[in-house]
Amino acid sequence: MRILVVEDERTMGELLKKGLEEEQHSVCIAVDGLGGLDHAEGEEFDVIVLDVMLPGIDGFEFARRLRAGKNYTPILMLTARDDVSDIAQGLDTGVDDYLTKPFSFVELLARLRAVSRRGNAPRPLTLQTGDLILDPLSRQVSRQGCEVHLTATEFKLLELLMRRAGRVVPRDVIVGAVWGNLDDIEESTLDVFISLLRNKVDKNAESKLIHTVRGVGYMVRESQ
Amino acid sequence: MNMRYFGSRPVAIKVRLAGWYFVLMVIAMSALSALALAGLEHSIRSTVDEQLVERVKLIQKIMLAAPASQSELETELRESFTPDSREELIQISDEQGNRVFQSTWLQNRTLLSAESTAKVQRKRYPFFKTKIDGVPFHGMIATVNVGRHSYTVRVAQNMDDFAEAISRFRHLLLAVVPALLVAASLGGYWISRRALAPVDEITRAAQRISGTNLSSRLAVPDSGDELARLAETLNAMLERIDLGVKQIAQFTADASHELRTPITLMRTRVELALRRPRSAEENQQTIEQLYSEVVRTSELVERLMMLARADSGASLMRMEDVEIVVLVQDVLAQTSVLALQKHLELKAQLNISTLWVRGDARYLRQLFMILIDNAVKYTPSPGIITVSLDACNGFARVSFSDTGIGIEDEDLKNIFNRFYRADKARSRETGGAGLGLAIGRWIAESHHGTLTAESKSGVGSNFLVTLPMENNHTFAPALMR
Repeated sequence: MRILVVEDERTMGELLKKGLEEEQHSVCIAVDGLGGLDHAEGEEFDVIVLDVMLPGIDGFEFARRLRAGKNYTPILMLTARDDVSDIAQGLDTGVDDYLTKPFSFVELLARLRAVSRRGNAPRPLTLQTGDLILDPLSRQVSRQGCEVHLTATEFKLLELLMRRAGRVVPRDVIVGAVWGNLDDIEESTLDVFISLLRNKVDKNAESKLIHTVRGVGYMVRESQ
Repeated sequence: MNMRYFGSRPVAIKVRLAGWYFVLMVIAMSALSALALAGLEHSIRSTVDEQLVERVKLIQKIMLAAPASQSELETELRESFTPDSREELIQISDEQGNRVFQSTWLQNRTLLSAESTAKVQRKRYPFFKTKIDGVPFHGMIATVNVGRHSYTVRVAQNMDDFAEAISRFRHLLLAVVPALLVAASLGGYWISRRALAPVDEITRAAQRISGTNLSSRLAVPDSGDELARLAETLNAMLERIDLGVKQIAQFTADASHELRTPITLMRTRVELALRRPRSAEENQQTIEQLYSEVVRTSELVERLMMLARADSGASLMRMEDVEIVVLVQDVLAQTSVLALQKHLELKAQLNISTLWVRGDARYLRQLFMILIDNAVKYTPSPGIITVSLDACNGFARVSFSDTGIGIEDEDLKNIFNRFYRADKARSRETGGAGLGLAIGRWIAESHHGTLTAESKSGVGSNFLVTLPMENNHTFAPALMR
């Protein structure tokens, strides 16, 4: 594998390079965030090993900028802080996995193999269909750049449809996922919520994104 | 047992306050009622007394001006008084006890027996109380001398109406006072509840503040009273606790980060060495690298533990009289080899032969070592490090100046903060965790001294230690060491 190691401590970087090269990987080292970003964007790597504490821009910012540039090279973050908020922040900015220092080299190798299997297929942090964007982290929805305010149920419904964008989602699947398998949900409830959702999402837009598939269910899809 | 407790359950202050209020109200109202009754009775009696005195005076006047004849006197008296009245009684008798004149109603009744009369006449105030046919009377006895004759005049006033009035007043008090007491007690309870409501509020707010949620504060009532002060005081205390906890958390986080870094390095180094067979030469190299990493890590641990102990507030210093000229020379001798290795010149300007301070020689030695060590680290070859020593205004001043890379202004503010590194990459390679100057300042301040820095980027830095001098030192064993 071709691996980029972004690590500001030269000794540690050299050691990782030596160890990884002995496992027949090819390793490139960057000693700060901006330099690492240049490498990551200019060359193709199978995986990036990223230290969080870096001079210049830190690991979180590195990941955020890389993902913002639609580069989905898998990232394994190394952190000396095991604070849950740090780990959550890393994962939410687009890091794929993390290891806390001190780590086992064997585990590092295994995790590198694991995250590299994800490949560089797009794994955006937000769901997007046309100009409709849904952010599962901040729970915000926007259409054509304008924020759309949804109730909890409407959000659940839209997220379900957007995660299956381009595919028809059968009525019973939607009802089961959004309301649970409650017996007292009437057939028309789903239609009521779909029309509420359409009012907020589709009404003021030129193209409609929520489509009815008669007799089957609903679908979110960009209009051709 | 404490009176605040019924059984094992403490009684709320508001109930206790209301209770005390009730007791005080009972005492006050009873006293007031008793005083009012007594006052009423006294006022009635003195009014009656005055009337009686007036009546006696009038009788005396009539009798003195009286014509000799008995019947004329009787007519005169009859005109002045109403003898048929049962309200105002008159009885006049001569020396023999013969009734000369009396109210009609007294014809076959006695106003006061001769025996009682004699008793009253001996008293200072000739007033008396009596009952005739169950009717209460208040009376007065006087002696009137007319010529050779001496008459005894008895007058009395029917007190029935007054007794009735007093009795009615007493009934009124009995009805009104308990009602007032109940109302006042309820009012007292309401007032104490209202006054103490902010206490409940503060209690509830304080309960919401837990160890993990120290950032919230109590709402300070804008009353400006004792309770507002209490809330403000509690808030100030919370502020200090919050700050302390945050500092500890920050220190722990920084310290664990600093420790994890070298340990990660060593662990990975060992793991890699063990993954496959290595040549003896390679292993030798690994062990040498590990050795220097272990040495650096143990120094780091030593410094962290020193700071942790410093934070615990326990006094670690063993204060004695220390001669610092010798101490500085000693440190210079010890560090000259470091300077030599980097081809730096280490100059000493000791302008004084002996200088005594009160302190712990081990810690002062460490302080000087830290400063020389830093100077050597940040001065490129060829360079000069100058250590000078003098005394000024009762302070010993030890300065360490170098011709090194200097410190940027914005870093200068922070170099005494723990874990602060002006340049992370370089400092890591020189092995510092950013603790030396923090420890140095702590040592100087523990000696009631200071550690300050001046620097110009690219020209050099100057660190100055001042320590209060010990003027009247005794030649303690410290000198011998």
